[in-house]
Amino acid sequence: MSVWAAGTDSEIRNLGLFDGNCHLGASDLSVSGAPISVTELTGEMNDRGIAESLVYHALASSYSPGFGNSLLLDEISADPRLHGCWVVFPHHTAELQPAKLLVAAALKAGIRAVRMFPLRHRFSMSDWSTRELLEKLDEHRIPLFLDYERTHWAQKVVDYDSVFRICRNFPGIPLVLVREGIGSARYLYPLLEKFDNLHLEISYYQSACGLEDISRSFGARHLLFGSGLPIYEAGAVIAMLLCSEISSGEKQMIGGDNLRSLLKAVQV
Amino acid sequence: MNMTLGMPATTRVIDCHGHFGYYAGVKIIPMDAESMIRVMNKTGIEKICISAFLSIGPDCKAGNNLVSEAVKRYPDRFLGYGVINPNRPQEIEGELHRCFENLGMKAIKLHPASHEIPAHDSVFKKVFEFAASKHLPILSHEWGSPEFLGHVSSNYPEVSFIVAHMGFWSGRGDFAYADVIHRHDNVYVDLAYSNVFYEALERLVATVGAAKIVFGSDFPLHDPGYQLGRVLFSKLTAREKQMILGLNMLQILGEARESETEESNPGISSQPSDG
Repeated sequence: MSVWAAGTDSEIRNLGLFDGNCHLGASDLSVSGAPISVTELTGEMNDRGIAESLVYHALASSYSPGFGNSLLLDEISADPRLHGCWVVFPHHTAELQPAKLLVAAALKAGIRAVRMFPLRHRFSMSDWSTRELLEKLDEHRIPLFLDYERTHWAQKVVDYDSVFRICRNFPGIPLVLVREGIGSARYLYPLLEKFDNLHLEISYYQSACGLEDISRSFGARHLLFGSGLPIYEAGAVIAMLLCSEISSGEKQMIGGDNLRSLLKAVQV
Repeated sequence: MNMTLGMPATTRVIDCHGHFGYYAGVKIIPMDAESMIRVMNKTGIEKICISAFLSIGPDCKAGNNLVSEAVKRYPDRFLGYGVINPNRPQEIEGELHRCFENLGMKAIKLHPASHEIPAHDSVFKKVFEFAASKHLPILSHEWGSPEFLGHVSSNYPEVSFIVAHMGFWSGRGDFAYADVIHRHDNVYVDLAYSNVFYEALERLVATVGAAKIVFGSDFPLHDPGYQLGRVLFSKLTAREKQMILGLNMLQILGEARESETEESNPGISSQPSDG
């Protein structure tokens, strides 16, 4: 009864996988042997059939955004399959540049996406905190990966009211929620119904037939492949995508084309 | 690419940890037996062992009836877990007899967390005694302390005890149940854990051995392809994958074909692998 025989490798290649949820460097949870260097990560990508990855640096999230973002540029210059994503937060504490300068520097460095960690970095996503930064991201149509570092599907960690406000007030920002889980559908569906600029990274979205349901109800354009490497295994989500009952075109969209389109649409 | 997906076509996939019906906190999409079977067909799952969410929640009798109905309609695809509610101790023995004498159940599922009665509570003694009398496997969402699991698995050697959800182990640090699983032939662990940490499965195999691990997905709460992927894409040998995906559970259930048993497959080892 196995459906996993010959042909699977070529099926995976055909997905054109572009990993939207991946980091370089050691993080708090990295285990021995996890692929944290460029060589190790690209080796893992080869093994898993992942063509490209959008990466941030672990030290940008768990140590200092400025330090980690700079390190990222040095490290990814070695491999064109790795695309940089800067970790950012609002400028008011003067730890990062004001929004206008920060975004200009990011674009000049070739960065086409940013990531925020509101819980880890302890800042509010409310308008009084993030408005200037979000206005610049909106102006340049820069994708924002919003990471509440969910570790279990039952956790109530995401500020969905802020998600609603950002999607409504900043339609130029492709907002990507990271590691949403099976318990999120009743929060997500009314948002997906309203906003074309809301996207889900699927590394933890293991709702049975969930990819099919969202693709059918709202369109596969809302879904982006991600692995969670090097903390999590890529194979689980790849298998889920392979098994999903959606068209091969939709699988390719989710697998990589959606993310490629978002990055290409950034206005430099 | 090195996918290690070229599993033999004869690979049997038995899912030891499935459910049935609605779940209050989550949108369940494959709601009925037919839609579950469609998903099983696309992922290559031969049979799934199911308990009703209704059983591990508010009404074990009604839930057991739902499972029994699905099993009777599709006996080759579903295997039923009988569930009791420890909050109603006076009903336990009657429901166990009903499950296994009338409803066609083949194993017992406990959910101490849902019923808020710990597995070491004395109320479960009659469940263990019943399981021992009929040589039934018991899958439990949790078993409490490893010491308790060691104690109960020694007292009831006729029962196969399955630790659900990988014992909620992240693959980092010590696996709390490693010693009891390793020392007791009748203790196993399932893989139905939503977090698939990097190489955690490989470390689990190195710790307890592939012969003590059974495949579980938590379907239809979770997508079975996701959990299948963690095994198929792992760095384990094809034989270890076959054992985990199906052979071990078939042996627990007494449904393994002669050609699949340990005695006729010297390649199957219950010892931890080197890696």
